[in-house]
Amino acid sequence: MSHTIPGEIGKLFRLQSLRLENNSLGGDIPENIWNLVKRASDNFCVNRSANKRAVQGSRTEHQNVTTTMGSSTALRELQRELENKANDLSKLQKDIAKNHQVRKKYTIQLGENELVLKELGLLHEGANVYKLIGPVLVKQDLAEANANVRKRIEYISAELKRLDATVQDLGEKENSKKEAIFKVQQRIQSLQAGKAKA
Amino acid sequence: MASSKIGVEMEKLSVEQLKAFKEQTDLEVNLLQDSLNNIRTATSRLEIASSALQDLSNRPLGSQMLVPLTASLYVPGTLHDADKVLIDIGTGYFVEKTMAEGKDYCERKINLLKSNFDQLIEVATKKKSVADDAAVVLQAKLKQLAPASS
Repeated sequence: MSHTIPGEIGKLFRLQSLRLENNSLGGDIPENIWNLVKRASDNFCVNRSANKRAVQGSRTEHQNVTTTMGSSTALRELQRELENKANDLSKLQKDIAKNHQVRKKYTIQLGENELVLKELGLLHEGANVYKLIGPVLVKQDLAEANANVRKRIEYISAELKRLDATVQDLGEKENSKKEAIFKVQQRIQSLQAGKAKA
Repeated sequence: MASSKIGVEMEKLSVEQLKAFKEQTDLEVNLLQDSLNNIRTATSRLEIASSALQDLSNRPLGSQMLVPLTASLYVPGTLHDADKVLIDIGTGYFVEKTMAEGKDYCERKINLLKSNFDQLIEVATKKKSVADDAAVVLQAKLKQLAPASS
């Protein structure tokens, strides 16, 4: 079963240490949790990367919220690195989502323009064609309108191709970032395991 | 046949994966439903346009009418030319057509939308059945898990 972290967590004034890994937590990390961080200041590290990924929409089922008191500097540094990487990843994912939206818009426009071109092709020579420019209808040549729509379709197709290339590029970047994050997480885990033994 | 194959595949998935899969299909079903609604509204608008053209062609030249400028402001006018109509073909282009051609245009567009609608409804029902199957399998899995965990 997955649950969310309750907002009341911020009220746990005397909390020294909290381990939440290997639970199927969902939703956002409550804002309150940062109160704890403020209170315990730099001894408190919260690994929020897993949650960020979930917020981005790629649902990770096992979220790691590890809060460690008195962690060593090396561990802190690693976690900071992890945080930075997670930020980069979320930025990348945002870019990808934006790209998809633009792509969708262009696809719709392409379809519409193709319909218009078909319609213009059905007209016979000398038909009256008007173009809406602002609030005014301006009379246009059929040939000119035809060329204009054709040019639009050409432009949109080129734009779609370009977007496909960027999406692919971003996807590759995303994967490499994910791998890097995984590596950092592994290092943190091994560090923690080593400390637990010591 | 295809759905049973998917069903077998669904049996293999874990509960978490199944949940994600079901959410995904539900999303797709909703998207398709939205598209269907859009097509329906577009069709009804074209039908209104078509009947308006029909109505206009039946009126004699010079007949009095009220032209809506906004939803609440109407100005009086007379019918000057009922033979030529301007048709919005999209992306800001308007084409002057005769009444018959205008009606033909509406007819064509309605038919196009109808064929799209039929295609889409087929896809939507398929997706819906997949989503329902996923829900059933998920329920069964949860039931299996419930006694094991308690």
